[in-house]
Amino acid sequence: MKPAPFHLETPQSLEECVALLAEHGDEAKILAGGQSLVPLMNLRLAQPSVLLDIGGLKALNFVEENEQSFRIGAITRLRDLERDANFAKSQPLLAEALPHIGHTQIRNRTTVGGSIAHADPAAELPAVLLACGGTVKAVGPNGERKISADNFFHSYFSTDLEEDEAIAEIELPRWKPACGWSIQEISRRHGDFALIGIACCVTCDDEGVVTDANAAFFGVGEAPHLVESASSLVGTKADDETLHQVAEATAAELDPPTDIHVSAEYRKHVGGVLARRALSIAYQRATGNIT
Amino acid sequence: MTYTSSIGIRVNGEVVEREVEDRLTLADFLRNELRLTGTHLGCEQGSCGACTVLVDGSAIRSCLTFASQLNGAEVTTVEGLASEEDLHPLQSAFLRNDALQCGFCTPGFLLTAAEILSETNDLDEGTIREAISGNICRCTGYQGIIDAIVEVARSGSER
Amino acid sequence: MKAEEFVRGQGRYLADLPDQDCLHVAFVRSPHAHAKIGEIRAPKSSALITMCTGVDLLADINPFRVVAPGHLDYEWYPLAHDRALFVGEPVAAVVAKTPYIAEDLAAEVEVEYDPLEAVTNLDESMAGETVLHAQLENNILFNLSVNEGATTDTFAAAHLVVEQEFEYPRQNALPLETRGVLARFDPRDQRYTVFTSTQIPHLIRSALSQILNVNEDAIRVIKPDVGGGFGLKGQLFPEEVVLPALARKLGHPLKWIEDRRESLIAGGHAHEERLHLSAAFDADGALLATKSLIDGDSGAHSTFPFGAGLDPLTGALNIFGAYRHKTAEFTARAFASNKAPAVSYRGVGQIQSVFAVERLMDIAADRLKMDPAELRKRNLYTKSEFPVTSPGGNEFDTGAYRETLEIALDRADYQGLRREQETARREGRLYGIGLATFNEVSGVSIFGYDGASIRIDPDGQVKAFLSTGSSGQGHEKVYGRLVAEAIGISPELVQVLEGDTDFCPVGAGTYASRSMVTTGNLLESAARELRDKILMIGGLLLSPDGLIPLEHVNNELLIADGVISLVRDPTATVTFEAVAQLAHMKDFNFSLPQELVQAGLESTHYEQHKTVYSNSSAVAAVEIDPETAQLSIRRCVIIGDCGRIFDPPTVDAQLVGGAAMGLGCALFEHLRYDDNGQILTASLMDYLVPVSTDIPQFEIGHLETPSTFSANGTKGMGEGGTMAIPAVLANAVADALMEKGLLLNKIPLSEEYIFQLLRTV
Repeated sequence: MKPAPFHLETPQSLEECVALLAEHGDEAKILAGGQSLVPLMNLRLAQPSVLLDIGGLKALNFVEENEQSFRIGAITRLRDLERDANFAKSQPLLAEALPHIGHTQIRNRTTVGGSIAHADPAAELPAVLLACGGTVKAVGPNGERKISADNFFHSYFSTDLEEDEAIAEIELPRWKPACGWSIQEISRRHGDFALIGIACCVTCDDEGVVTDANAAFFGVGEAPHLVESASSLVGTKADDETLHQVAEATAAELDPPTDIHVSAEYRKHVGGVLARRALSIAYQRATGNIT
Repeated sequence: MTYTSSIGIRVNGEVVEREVEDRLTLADFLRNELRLTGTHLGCEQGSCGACTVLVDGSAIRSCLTFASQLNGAEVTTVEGLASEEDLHPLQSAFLRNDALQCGFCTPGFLLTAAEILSETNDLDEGTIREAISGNICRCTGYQGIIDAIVEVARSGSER
Repeated sequence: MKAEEFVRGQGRYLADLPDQDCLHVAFVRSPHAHAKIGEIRAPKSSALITMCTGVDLLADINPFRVVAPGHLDYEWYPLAHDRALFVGEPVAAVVAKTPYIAEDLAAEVEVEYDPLEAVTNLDESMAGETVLHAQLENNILFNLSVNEGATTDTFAAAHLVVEQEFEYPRQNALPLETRGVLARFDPRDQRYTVFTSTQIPHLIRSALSQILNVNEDAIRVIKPDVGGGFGLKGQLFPEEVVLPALARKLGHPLKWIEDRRESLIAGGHAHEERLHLSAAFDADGALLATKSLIDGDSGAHSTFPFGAGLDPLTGALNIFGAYRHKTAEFTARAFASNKAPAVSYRGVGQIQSVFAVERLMDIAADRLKMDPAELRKRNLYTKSEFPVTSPGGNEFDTGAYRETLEIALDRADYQGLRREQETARREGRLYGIGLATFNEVSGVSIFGYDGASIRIDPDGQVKAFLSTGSSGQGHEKVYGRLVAEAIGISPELVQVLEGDTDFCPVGAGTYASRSMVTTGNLLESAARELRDKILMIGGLLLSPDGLIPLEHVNNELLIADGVISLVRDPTATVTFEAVAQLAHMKDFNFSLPQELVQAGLESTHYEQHKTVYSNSSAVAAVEIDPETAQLSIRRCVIIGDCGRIFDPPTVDAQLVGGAAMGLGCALFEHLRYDDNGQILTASLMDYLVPVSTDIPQFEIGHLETPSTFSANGTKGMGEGGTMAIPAVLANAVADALMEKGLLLNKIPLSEEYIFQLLRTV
């Protein structure tokens, strides 16, 4: 299990990286943390002839918050977010997702941009981006463009990015104090990709009435999936009866695949259960009943 | 066509300068070029943790990193933990707690644990279980490994 | 000290051996489950040093037959030359300067395949529409029935008959170090040196001598440090033949390190079986008779040395072994399929049969309306009943089976757990308690004799040479201590050497929990013999009467901490080192009376050991999330009885580590194929083994009922923990699921399987 030969290039800027992508076409791959790409290369399931190592681009390694938004540079490593005590306050849903992603050695290398660009449908970060209503900022030969998360993830390992585009950063809305969150997942072992999981945010008014609810599933098909069923929470106080109905509607809405680990039937059923549990926790956090 | 890169890195404190093939993994670089065979390869898929080394203080899987990426990096392998006479406190604790049998996974666990302990000594058994869950041991059932790390954390002999 | 070498990263595993002068081999493997092999074209690359196909190799090797009782043998070749019989079967080898280049070239080899119908499960194999081996009439590789018809009358008259079919999945032992071979051929000596990561160096040498058509003396097999074996490294693999054959042909040393993908697709599968069990009981719950049919799916080949019958036969011979009953009959069969060949994996044969039997006992308890613990106690042999001959003819020397279960129940607070279960059930929680109790065949010596040899040098350095070989069991430490204590010297003087056929006595290697029982006993005999001789020489130096006859040395002399003294005059002493010196070389004042004492300090003992049986009992409590089918293990108690315990930490470590491996078997490990024989679990993302967060705190304990068959009183103890877990967790899960649990007849206990059981109406 040794990778096929390739040429490593080390672009000094994202613009240079994009130019090299344009030059090499589908022969080239961007190497950021390498935790998804290199296993595929070692198995020779991926054989790029050029690797563009952007791991050293300091300009892409940042976390910035302003009045409108919260931005994370593409090569920011997950472990750095985990170690940042303020991050959990700024973006609690993403922070809660981090320990579920692989293991410490993986998170020491995995980058935010790499995880989003890889677009594994069972991965946590794409679903978090979707649930939060985030956007991806991509850079291509014609400059920048922003792609909302709900337009970004197309199918298995396939996104809206053109062959000659690279992710510069992701942007999340600033976290609202009245917003509760939860991430729930079932995996065979700690750190494995989820068999099925959900990331959700619930916002309430002062009376405890839900004003907004978003829930994105992962591990349910070709891309992370924002369920419509969560919206029926809006206008309610997320009582047991409502949550029960949301669970049933979620199970009915999901159309997940069967694989060697679990059946579609399992994923549908447990999807409903996780929706109920996660939305309930998010609601209680939104109303300040739990932290 | 063989593509190579020039790299200069520090391995266990010593400066190493080499021309390496771009596709050479850090694990194979350490094992084959430097003959530091304490870093073991158990899967080359990033799943078993046997090849864990420290790069700039962070525990990483050396089978998923290319040596050509690491110009300027500081690498620590299991060979860099002990001095000629004295074992690293983790190594002694592993011996005392029956934390190994066949020994193949041991270097990876030691370096994973070294990183955890470099950040905090405030570690309970649950935290340690989670922190080492990216390393596979087929012999011990992990209990001795966990006990050894708890022991070192308690003694605070690692900062 | 071995363990210190390991923590320093100084272990020398196969991949770590000096290889600067080696070329590297990569194998071209069949992508088809079953296909006729046509032309094989080598890549046109100057980097290719050579390519060797199965046809090329025919000139250099003899066909090999795996001959064992009950086996149907056929000619086996290490590289497929006319048909490939499983995905991953090697069809050619390429040689290049580095492993990277070898792998590049292997991918460029073009092989013409003509795909054939694949046999991918037991039913297809039994149907026999496609026969895998042209030399056989059907796909049966092994078939043995014992006591056929003997139980018919008992079953007909019984109060209760329970009957159930069970399935046990295909699994891989997954030592963290993959396999590997480094082979040299010295044209001057005409000798091969084959380094291989194996548990059985001498058996490998014997097989290679037949296949390579040279005397055993022309082959030296060396086992370096082995990064885990667990049975998987207990057989001959094709690569162990190809490398030496090619090294000779090419005139160049060769190295090959298996990668994890190769290991998962072709490096030794195990355990896959279907078991059909019946048991007859009287109205009081006494077991009267048992009937077992065990069919193994052995994959494409019968492997040397154990053959395709290994798992089904081992299971059948020992089935229901812990339970008193009058008659038993069984049939054990092994069938060929287009899957990777079956090899051994810790708990051979018994992990499956214990799972099935223990499930059956719970089903019987339900039918008899008895508590599962009571039914087991009613039928387990008690200490006073031994020695016992089982209905299958096995001789059990000693044991305390019922007592072991009682200790486990006590330790787990079984009644307390049942009360907790009542509370849980009232709250609508799924809480289950499982039991498993069994005896375990160990120390098996089907290949004849084992040997242990001790040689003491003139400076008092002691070397112990053994026919067994550690792959992490800590022989170096345990045997070092054993020799030191038996002689009466410091363990630091003792070096334990295993796994080199040029120096070590001939023997079968390490598997089946046999080392302490076989070479442990032999080593102690050899050490005692040398101790007596050392005392005798010491007596010549110390005693005013001169020679003390051998039969009296232990009464008249002492040796402790390397100092020999007279019992009647403790001030008269001589050191062990001085005696060692005088045993080899005379000095001005002393020479051995050679007519009475032969010079030198060497002793070698050989013996075929009798099989011994240890036993274990386990109690587990689990809880299942009724909505997600997730399993949480609340308690897991395992009590083992492996006779006398020589080194408690080593025994504990084997029990706990074995249990962790059993947990993998119970919950995760499952090699899967699709209907075309394509393997679906070729990475560690798909073939799952337990990590630290999966393992509960095992609560272990021991009972010591010494064996009378083994001089040191020990019984094997490497596999009880492993065997216990699938059975005890399956029973606990079944108990948690109540009436739905009665349907539980297979593992792994995955979320999906538990979910399906929960959904049954």
